[in-house]
Amino acid sequence: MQNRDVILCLHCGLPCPDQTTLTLPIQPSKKENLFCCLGCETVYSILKGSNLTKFYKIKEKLPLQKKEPVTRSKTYQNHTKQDYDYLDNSEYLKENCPDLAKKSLRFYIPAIHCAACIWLIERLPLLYSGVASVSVNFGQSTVTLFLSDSGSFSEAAFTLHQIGYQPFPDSASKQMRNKKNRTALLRIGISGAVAANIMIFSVAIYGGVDGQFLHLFNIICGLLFLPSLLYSARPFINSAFFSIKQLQFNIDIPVSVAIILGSTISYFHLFNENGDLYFDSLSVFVFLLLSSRHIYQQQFRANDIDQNRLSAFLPKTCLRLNTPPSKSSFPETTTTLLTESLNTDDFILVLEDTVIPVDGICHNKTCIIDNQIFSGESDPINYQQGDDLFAGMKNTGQPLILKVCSIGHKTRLGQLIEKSKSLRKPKLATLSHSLSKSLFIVLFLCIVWTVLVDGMLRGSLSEILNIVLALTIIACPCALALSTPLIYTMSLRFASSNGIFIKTPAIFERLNSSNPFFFDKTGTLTLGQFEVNQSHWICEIPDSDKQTIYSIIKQLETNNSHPVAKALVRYATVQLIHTKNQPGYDHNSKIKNESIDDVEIDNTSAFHSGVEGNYKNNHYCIKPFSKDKIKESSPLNSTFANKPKSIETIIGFYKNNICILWFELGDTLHPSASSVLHQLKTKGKKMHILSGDQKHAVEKIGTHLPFDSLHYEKTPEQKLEVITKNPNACMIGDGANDSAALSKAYVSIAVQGSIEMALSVSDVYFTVSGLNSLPILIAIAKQTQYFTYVTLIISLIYNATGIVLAFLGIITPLIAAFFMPLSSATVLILAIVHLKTLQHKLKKTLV
Amino acid sequence: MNILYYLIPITFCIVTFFVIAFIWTVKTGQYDDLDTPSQKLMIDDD
Repeated sequence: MQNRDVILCLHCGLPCPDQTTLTLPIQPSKKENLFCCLGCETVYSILKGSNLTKFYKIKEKLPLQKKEPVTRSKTYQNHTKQDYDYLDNSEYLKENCPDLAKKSLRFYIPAIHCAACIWLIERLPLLYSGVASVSVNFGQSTVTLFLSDSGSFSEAAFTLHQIGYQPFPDSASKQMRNKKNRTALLRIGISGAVAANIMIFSVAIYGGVDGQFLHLFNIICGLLFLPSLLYSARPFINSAFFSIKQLQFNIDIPVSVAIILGSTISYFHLFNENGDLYFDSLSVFVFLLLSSRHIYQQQFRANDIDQNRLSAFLPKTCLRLNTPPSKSSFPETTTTLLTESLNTDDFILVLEDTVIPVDGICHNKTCIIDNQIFSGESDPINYQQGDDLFAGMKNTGQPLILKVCSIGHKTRLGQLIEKSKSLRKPKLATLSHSLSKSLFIVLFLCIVWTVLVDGMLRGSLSEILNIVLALTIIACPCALALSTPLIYTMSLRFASSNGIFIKTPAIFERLNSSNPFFFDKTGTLTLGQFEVNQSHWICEIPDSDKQTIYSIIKQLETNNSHPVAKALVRYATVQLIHTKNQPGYDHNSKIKNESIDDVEIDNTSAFHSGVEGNYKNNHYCIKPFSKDKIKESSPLNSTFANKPKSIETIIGFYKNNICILWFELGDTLHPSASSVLHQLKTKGKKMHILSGDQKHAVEKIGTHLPFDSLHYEKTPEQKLEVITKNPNACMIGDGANDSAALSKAYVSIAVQGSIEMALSVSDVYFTVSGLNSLPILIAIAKQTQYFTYVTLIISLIYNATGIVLAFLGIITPLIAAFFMPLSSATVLILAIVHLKTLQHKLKKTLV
Repeated sequence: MNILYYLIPITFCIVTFFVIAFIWTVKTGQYDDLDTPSQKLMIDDD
């Protein structure tokens, strides 16, 4: 790392890329205004234009509050205002706007991470006058916009997007969450008030009040307890009834038994004017239990928000053709519609570089589709008329007409997401679940014993009731049943905030015991995209002419979406900046990007025939370099002769059919790979490459890295065979050719690329490219397992001692009611400690 | 001890008042967002 020269982006504070790799031309004179990307620069200029640069002053003073948002999916970088048009659709508003008269709408904005963000978003009315007011919820990362009469939601949303806060519409169901939250708070508040007031009178009763006051106080306690029993305790009783109906065990059953049994006995005694009353214990029990349950639920909910982002993959609107397409003419008129309101057999138009919103049948003769979302391969694929196209694919060619087959959740992508959602709710913590079940049986036996044996020996009904009630309260396995899910939730939440998407928490345990790690090469260890590794001029050319040539290359390939073309554009842009910054470069030279805009391009988008164009009466062509044509330029021939047949592509640049420049394009090692692999090595893990690639390509990558063995030229079936031979293998891969191996691996991890595969066959999905997430995941897994055991043991010890003490009659129901929720609190504190140590550890590894 | 006949109704009045006040704060959404106000504290007024 060259820390000395790192310049931080003025907007986001991230290090600016090296000047040579920067794709933007930057002026050396304005050194203080440096940006890491075009996006940051745009945001800065907007803010400067509206006198909102105070944002940066506020930001400077603050420590970062939340994690930076996970890198966004590529398809969402190029938003236009039209992408938000659906927000103005009256149908959409009717469904999602809670109060139409008020014109307010809630958005989920994951990018909110500090106070400066709140400050900036609240000044949205200064940027767009159609917004009357804004309210930001920092905890949930949501923003509610209130419009003035003239405003439109699409404008407002786009303005937010422009200043770097991409808004995702918050579904109506999420808005219900606040209502639920309010009811829970009401229940807690009322039960708290009840418990405290009953205590006032109970203290007097314990203090020795007698006569008429004793009876009066008892009646008051009984009356006060009613709201707690009838209102606050309802969720427990409802859920217990529900689980009894389903013939399933549920931790609310012992809770409800305790509450119902206790209150029945108490009211019975109250009417008879003798015997013990348990209103105090029960009200405290209800209050503390509700409180701890509420905190639990908030933790679970916080985890939930990030998971819903997957549904934001598809465009919300589409263009429907007004008339069914005729064979010859291009459709003239379209209407913008919500995707949900489409019908099957409608025809829609999918513009260039947009994501297909529904499953459908291709109506064009041919089309070029980026299928990365399903296959993980970056090469565009050609489809014919009548082929099935799926929602989530991206149209990279001509505008496309599609006959709609299925919409929304019925699409292939929707089904996959649904499937993974149901998989995401596995039987959490089966160990603690079965433990709490057996605890329940022990408790039942204890009660029977007390009633039968103790009852005969002591003969006092009130004493037996005391023991039974204390037993039911203290033996309630709340802490036990909730400990593991809570720890898992904390871990999942931490993981997802770091770009690790975990399907089942069971992998925490498995990952710790998995030893041989198998890595796929392309796209996992390497970047998986073409970069120019090497270029060579065949003859000497002055610098100014090189400029022109790079400009021509850029111009020729700019509109080509093939990965090779993109790599060439990147390379040419860098070279242009590079030569410009060289001393002696004539800045006034007329050869600039703009001056060759008049290149007449006769562009064929298919790669194998290359691209060609004319400029100043010369014919230029970029196409694959063929060996036989360089026989004249002899020194080169030897270079090629030594080269084995390789995956690297050689591309030539031809002027009037004479090659003057060639490029070698290939895949490069991911910058994060090396350090991560060495880190794993020190932990004693065995590592292998498992690749379908050719021997020399695998060796080129593998020999410099600490691999134990290299497997190359493996077919998917052979990969599967290798994995099945290692029952504890952890497989890390991306391409479709890994999916079989991934599905059979003990732990399977998919890296950025294919979503279909990640959701269907693998346990973990990294949304951040590269392997940096792997050590984080391993650390999370290790600590999660440790804390799970600790909390299990603590709650078991607690329950065991509790049962013994209550059985011996040492603990009264009141003390039991205090201790029961205390154990939950201990578990909760442990879970929070768990999360904090994870955060601390991550910071350490980053520094 | 006769004072209790006054005190008990008074406590009930106080309890009812605070419970109603609490219900009002919940219903008006004052607990919906507990994080933003604490963040805003860090920002000086214009």
